[in-house]
Amino acid sequence: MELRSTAGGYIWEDSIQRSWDVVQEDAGGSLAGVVAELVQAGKRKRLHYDTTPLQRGIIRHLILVLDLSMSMSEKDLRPTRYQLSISYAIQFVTDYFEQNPISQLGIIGMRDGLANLVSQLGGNPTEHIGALQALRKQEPSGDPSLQNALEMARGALYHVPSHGTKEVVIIFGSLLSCDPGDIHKTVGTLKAEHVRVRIVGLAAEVAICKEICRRTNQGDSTSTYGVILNEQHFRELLLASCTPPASTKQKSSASLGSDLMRMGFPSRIVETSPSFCACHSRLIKGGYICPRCKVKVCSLPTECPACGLTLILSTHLARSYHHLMPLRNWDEVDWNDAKKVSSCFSCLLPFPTAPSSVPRFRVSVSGSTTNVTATAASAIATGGASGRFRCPSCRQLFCIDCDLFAHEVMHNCPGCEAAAGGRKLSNGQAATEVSMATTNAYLS
Amino acid sequence: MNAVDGSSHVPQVGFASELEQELPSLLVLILDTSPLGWGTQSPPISLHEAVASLLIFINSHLALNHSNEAAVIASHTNCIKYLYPVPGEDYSILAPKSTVTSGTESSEEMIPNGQSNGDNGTPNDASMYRQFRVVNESVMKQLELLLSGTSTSDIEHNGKISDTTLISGALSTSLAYINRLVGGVNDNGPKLRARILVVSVCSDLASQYVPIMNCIFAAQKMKVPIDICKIGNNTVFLQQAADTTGGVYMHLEHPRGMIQYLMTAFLPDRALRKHLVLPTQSSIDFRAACFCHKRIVDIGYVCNICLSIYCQPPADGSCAICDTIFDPKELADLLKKPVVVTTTVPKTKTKKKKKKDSDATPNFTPGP
Repeated sequence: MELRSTAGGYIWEDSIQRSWDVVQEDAGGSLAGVVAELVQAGKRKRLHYDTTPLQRGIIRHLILVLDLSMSMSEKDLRPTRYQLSISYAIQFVTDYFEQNPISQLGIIGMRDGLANLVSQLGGNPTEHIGALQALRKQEPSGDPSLQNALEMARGALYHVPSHGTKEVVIIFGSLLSCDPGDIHKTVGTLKAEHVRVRIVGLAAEVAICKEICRRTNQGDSTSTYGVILNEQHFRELLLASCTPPASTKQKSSASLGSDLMRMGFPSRIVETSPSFCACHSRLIKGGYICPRCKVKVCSLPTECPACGLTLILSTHLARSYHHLMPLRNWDEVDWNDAKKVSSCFSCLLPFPTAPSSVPRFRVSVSGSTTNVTATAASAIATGGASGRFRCPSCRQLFCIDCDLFAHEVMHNCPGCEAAAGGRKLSNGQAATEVSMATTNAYLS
Repeated sequence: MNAVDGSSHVPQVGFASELEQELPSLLVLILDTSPLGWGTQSPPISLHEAVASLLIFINSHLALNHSNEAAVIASHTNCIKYLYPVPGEDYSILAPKSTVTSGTESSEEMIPNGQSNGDNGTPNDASMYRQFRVVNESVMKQLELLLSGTSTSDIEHNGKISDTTLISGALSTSLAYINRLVGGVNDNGPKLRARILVVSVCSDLASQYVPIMNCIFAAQKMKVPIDICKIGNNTVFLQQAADTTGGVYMHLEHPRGMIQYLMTAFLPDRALRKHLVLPTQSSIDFRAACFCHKRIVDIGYVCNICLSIYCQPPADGSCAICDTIFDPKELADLLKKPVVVTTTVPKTKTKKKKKKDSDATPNFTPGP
């Protein structure tokens, strides 16, 4: 049998990419340039997001299911799978509420073949984080039961109104599930109730997990079921669930799931003497007054404990706008266009000057996302290094750090904002209008 | 999160390590240079006076710590411009000669020592702290360039003269600048503590709502307080910006005393602020304006797809922004009003009691 491949190694080694093969010394025998390019390539890989304005389910109801079984005591993730999962879960809770302020979250644990409620479906991040911290002191034990956990999640999401999304995210470290009945039936009911399940596997791909994700996400299991490669990948897979999911065609066309919600915008009061709040019965100074029943609550967003009106601030709504109006991807600029501008528009970082002859090494980037545009893909492949990125609408040039910052944190283009009428639709309403029109066009 | 959106009024300062107090700080000053905004102030304060005060303020900021840094960005009607530092200039080597061009009133007033009459060693010039001079000269020169390059067509929007400036652009730019200086790779965490001071005269920012909100949330994430020094009418968005990020909002009632406001309220940096009693805003308008009639509402209706706010359920049953057709059943539920049953209704139910009831006072009972 011929086991030798063309490269000289064994055939099964062909698919392995060795990072040390990619790196080559430059003319002076130094690695600095190559390392810098690798760092750049890593950043660039993260740059390209899906910027199609999609209709998204902004009001989310998500159940996070944690595997607390024996398999989580494995030490392949540092310090253990168990501790790392809890750390990432805490981070997930923080990020989730930062990006989805008017959404709800609940946590369920799988242990000893049972599903345990860790924290109730609710909108207060500190409660969830407290519950997760308490889990740290416990030890993982027994086998997990996917069916029990899914049934419990289904029960918790049962009352969710039709305008909210129902989602389950499972961190699954085991390779088995210890179920009392037929899990396929459970999956069927989940599908009927429009519950979407995402799974992050810590060990290896499990057929039933793939099946669950495929059936509850209209046949799409590639983007919803992922098995981690390392700690960093684990974090990425888990935090990907923070972005609100795109509404599915089936749901929006049926005009189900779209309706108006009555909400109260309370006014803040400042008091000289403390009084009790209606939500926690604590003595506090100041708070918010429900516009309907005039009861005092201490924190927002919440539901009025007296009349049940959803109380939010307009700033909470504004937090979700960037999901609806994503910033466009910026294009990489090649050396021919790059020479005119010497520093970044926003942070004044001097750009690298064009070398007379460009010594260039190919830096291959594996696992680039599916949303990469053709130009971006070619830019990545060539490892183009003018270090300049251009916003397609305002034509200003930016450095890579500003690119990352603008897309990941700020969601604004400094160039477009700094030009009068550059982003002609800087009016929130008009911009929404356009993005929504595109959305409708996209969906129909 | 509650602290974020104004639930707790006093900004929470949770990083009280001794080490951090030693950190130098970066001040990014955003100066609103809208000509109309400055021209229509009452009581009047001219841009010259304001800039004079601001330069003293920046100098005192730089004087507090040797490694303190400053940046000045002008937010103009049609562009934004770095007044200091200027891209492409190297500040490590100070030019021996002053670069300020003589001629305009402003520069003569502000920096008398900046006049280089072929004699680069006037006593004032030599005695001035180098860093101060660099900043002052750069700001004055760039401001002059900016204002002399502004024509009337620049301040017109749709044929109408407006005092709008690009605060959102200036905020975005300054955050990116802060991101580079503070977030720069360093083993020992951040090497600078940054804050933003906005000196604003314009009143209407409604068209920049979403970008300004994005900036506010980014600033909050980066723990950068946005201080607002407001001349003229109050602006709701800037109030929210200061409140959300834990900055100081100050409305100048006597703009001519600007220097005093600046020195007392805005000079202390983040580490010092928790020991001071700073001016706070007692009431901020957090209510929302509806998209349909621009009315301020306290109970509104929100489209769950695009989060647009209505003061009443739309008549045609679909969202005006995203064209989503709402579920008619749910809509009917929202429109339902409490039913007040008058005496005429119960008579069909209980015919026997009719005579008794008609004599009695009208019987108001809640409907089913």
